[in-house]
Amino acid sequence: MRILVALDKNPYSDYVVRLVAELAGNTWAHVTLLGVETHVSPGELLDSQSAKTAGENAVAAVLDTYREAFLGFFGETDSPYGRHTSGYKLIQEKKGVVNLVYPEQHKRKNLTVKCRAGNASREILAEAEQIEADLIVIGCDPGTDCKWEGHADICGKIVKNANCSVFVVKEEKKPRMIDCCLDHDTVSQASIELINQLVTLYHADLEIIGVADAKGLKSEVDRRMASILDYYVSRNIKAWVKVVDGLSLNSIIAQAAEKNLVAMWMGKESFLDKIFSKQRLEKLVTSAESSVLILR
Amino acid sequence: MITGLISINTNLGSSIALRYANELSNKIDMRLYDIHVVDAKKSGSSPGFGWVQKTWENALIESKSEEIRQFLDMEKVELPFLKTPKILIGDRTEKLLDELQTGQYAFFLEGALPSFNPNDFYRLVHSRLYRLMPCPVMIVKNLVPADNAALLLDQDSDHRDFIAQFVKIFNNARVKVDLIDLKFSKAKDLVIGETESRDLHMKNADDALKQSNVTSGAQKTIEGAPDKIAECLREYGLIISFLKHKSKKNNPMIELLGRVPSPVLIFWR
Repeated sequence: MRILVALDKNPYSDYVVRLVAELAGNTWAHVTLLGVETHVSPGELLDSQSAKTAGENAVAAVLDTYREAFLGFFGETDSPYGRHTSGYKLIQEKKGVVNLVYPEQHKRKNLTVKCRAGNASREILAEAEQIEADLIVIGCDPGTDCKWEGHADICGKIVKNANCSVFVVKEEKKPRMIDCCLDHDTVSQASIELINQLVTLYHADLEIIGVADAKGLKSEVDRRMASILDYYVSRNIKAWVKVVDGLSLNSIIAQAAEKNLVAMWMGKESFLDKIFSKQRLEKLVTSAESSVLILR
Repeated sequence: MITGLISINTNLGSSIALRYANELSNKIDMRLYDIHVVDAKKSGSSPGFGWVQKTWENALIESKSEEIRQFLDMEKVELPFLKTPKILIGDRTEKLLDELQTGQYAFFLEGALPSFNPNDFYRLVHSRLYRLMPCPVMIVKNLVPADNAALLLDQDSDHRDFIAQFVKIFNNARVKVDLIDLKFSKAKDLVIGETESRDLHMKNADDALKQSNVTSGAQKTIEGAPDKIAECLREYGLIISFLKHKSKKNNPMIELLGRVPSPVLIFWR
């Protein structure tokens, strides 16, 4: 599993790093911490990040502290991501992309730290494509009050355009329930595992919501819900089931997103894609009070 | 030992109901008989009459029997089911009503996945099958441990008959039963309290449970809106209530039972 963590200088990013560290502790995923410098041109990125010119405010310096916090979650001896080391070199990967390179370590999983210059959502999506991320994790404030610099709708844009799963973390509060909406039977094992991990991390209940059409719940969705329920019950996870009419899904999701973590499986065969047009999905994610997880 | 009738289909609702019943059979001395009704209308029309129709129906029953047998094998339940599930062909409602009326069952059990719309539950309890049902019904909505149950009472009704019916099923049951005195209101927040000793109907109910060796747990009063109470009752493995056959749509108990995600056992009044 490859997780891309999009970070900025706001406090929610601290929480995102802790959350991803917990997630990585269970999944041993390859992790990339990414910051985006929006005020410099790609050609000036390397110079702008040097400690001499920008000091502690440089995105690279902030990312270095996030890396420390991430590694701090693991013990010195059993960390799959190597040990704490101070000092990094800035190596330009290409114009507008700079890697923070740390001394060589014996590590089982990759923890990459990099900085990009440009439009934040575009750069995050480009990085996700480049590393073939399975999941993008990004933080922002609840509701429409997103503080990503000059980019109040960044989460919506990423959800709208990403090809992989996206977890928009909006609050530190742990949800009591994870509502997973399903309307098709092509659900990846990775996404089921991801939900499993989140349920464990949050100590939350799980609700598997089948989306019905005018003729009711499709038999293949019914069967898939049964197999997902079996999977979680066999792992002693408290899982509830529920059915929602596709026509009222929009309002139900918006309601649930106020207090629970809403997760939506949006595969190629999903009509959630039709019910939640990309614009609507963008709006839901941008305005939600709680975290939202889009599974692809 | 009491006997119940469980309606089986090859879907998630039935799977949940079977597994829940399996667990419940370890706590209540019961035997379940399983039945599946092949909806003749959904299976298409018979290619003819007389022996042609009979042959067609037999073939349908045979194929459904095999399907149900495979389904039961997959569920791996240990209930003492009939070796061959009873497969009938015809109108589901009429066939089930016939069976319930002639079989003298203590209760009927089926799985029904809960929905966000309480009207779906209203439609279910107002279906012809439920309106004419001669015995209590257990609607299994979710697979939860059946360790504890909430017996819902209110101050305005005489519960003696309801409690008497209840203890017939739960006599010596290994399920802890909390007595909940409900009061519906539109208050934003729930008010949960201990019942006072002067609440005679609660005391009578508690005495009746003890006389039947039912493990009685806490006695509480809960006041609030149906949706809030439903959320609060999520912790129970079974919600037990009485309901009038002709309850109106705006009856708060209908809304409560429709919204609660746990299995519900309804006694008719």
